[in-house]
Amino acid sequence: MKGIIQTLIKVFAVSFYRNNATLFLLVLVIAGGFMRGSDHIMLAQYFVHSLPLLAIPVAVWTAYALLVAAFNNALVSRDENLFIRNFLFITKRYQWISCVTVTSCQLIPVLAYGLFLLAVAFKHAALMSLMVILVVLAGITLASAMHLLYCLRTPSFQKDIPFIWRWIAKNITRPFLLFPIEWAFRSYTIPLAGYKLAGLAILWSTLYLYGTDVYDIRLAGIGVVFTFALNITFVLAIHKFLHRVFPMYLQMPFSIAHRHAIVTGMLGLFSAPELTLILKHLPMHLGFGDAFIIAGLGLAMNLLMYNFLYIRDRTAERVMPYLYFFIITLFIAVLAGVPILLLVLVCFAASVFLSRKYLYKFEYQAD
Amino acid sequence: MLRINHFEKKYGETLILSIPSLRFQHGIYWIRGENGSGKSSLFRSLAGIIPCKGDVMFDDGISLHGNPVEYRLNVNFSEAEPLFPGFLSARDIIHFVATSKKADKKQVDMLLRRFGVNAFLTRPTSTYSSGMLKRLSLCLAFIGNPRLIILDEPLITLDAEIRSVLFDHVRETLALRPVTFLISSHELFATDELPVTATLKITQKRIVE
Repeated sequence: MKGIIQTLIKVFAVSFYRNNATLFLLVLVIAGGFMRGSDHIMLAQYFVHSLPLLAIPVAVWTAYALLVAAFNNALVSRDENLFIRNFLFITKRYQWISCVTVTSCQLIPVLAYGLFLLAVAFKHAALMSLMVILVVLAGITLASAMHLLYCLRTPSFQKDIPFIWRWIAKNITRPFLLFPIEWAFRSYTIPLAGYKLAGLAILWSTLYLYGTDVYDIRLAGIGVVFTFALNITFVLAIHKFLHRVFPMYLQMPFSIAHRHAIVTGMLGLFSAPELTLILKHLPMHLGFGDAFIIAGLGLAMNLLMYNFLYIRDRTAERVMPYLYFFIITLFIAVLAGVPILLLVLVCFAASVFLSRKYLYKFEYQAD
Repeated sequence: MLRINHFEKKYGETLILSIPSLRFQHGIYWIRGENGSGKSSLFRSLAGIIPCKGDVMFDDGISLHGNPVEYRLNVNFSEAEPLFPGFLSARDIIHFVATSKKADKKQVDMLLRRFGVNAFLTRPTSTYSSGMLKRLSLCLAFIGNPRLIILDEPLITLDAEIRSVLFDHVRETLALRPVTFLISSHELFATDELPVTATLKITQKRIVE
């Protein structure tokens, strides 16, 4: 029994933390870097003293639990994890114990912060909040365990396909450009949605600043650099799709220019909300041409990020230091007044160079 | 005709397969080898899916490394264990491949009918059995006008009826135009099923007749 739980923890919990290392790092930087211990206690006191405010951590916990559920669902569907189905040979009681233990391990950040809030609520005799937190934590743990149990008991090929997907499959022939986008959204729903919202918020805030004072094009350039840097999850996802999930793409007779156009099309479709925001809300004094240049910077830097992946087969974690370096370099270049059109051209030329040099030598193995 | 010279496939520093020189005429070549001998790596390399070293060239000079676009237009490949993104339907995938390989609609319709893919054309591939996935993969391998068709373990998970359809189609394709088939299989072919031109064996990182 102990061995089974250890195996399940390795498969589900350890890989969950590994896969989401960047997210946890970001949370640690925000929580540890910008807030002192007393700030955390004060924030917790706000939460436990007001039920509407308590809804904020509850919403974050729910989002986290959804992330865990999506991860477990995807993991169980993988061929290499078929062996986990042997789990069904143990008694139902042990199945439950295993699932609760594994999901509790995955929910450690939620449970830890929940216990902290419980302690604060107990100290301040906020009984209603204490009860709510207890019920929510128990509910989230139980629901996650039930979901994992369902995933393990019901192989994906036996699950019903929702009506909408059956209707789409029957009536619509998807264009190829949508294959990786749909796959990315299905595989990384929560990270992609989160980064997209964060990116749009950064961009909107940047463009909003133009209404408060007079700024030149560099402000929009900086906003675009940070907004499109958040597309890294999507860039990694389309790279994985085209080389591992759907390697047939590599067998198709497409020239390098054609492959560039395909990836640019995918990036353009994915970034349609950001591009629309730029074209619609860039202040009048910058002109329409500047809006196109700014939008072009976003696409060109994403294209370069994509083609950089061809240099060497690297895991997402190993790509991140290069990304940080690239973003900081771009940020400094924009701030220093390097013409944005020049940056667009440099990014695009570097993309072409990298794909010409490495595309046909590249072999995807990282996962 | 396909010529291979100084072919080498390595994973890291580990040599998987080395072929100093080899020629394939039109016809059917049965590639045999134990599990892990490098058959699939050879096939995936020849299909242009994974990189390799050496010259792989058709008789008119179109080569894997020199003319990657034209070469890929002339080569089709069916994986031993085909996997497709589960949300896509056979129609989505066939439409993509047919457009890319410049296939005409009549040919695609004929292949769909022949391999029985029409029966599940609009269903998501996540609902397919392994036999259905194999039929789809074989159907894709014949789309367009390839001069080299690589079928990696085409017989696994196929029922007797589709096995016979496959053999008929291979024979008819050969009768119509000059095509080289590279087929790997652990099962023995009867000569009346498929007229094999030559049998090659991959052993100790080499390919021998």
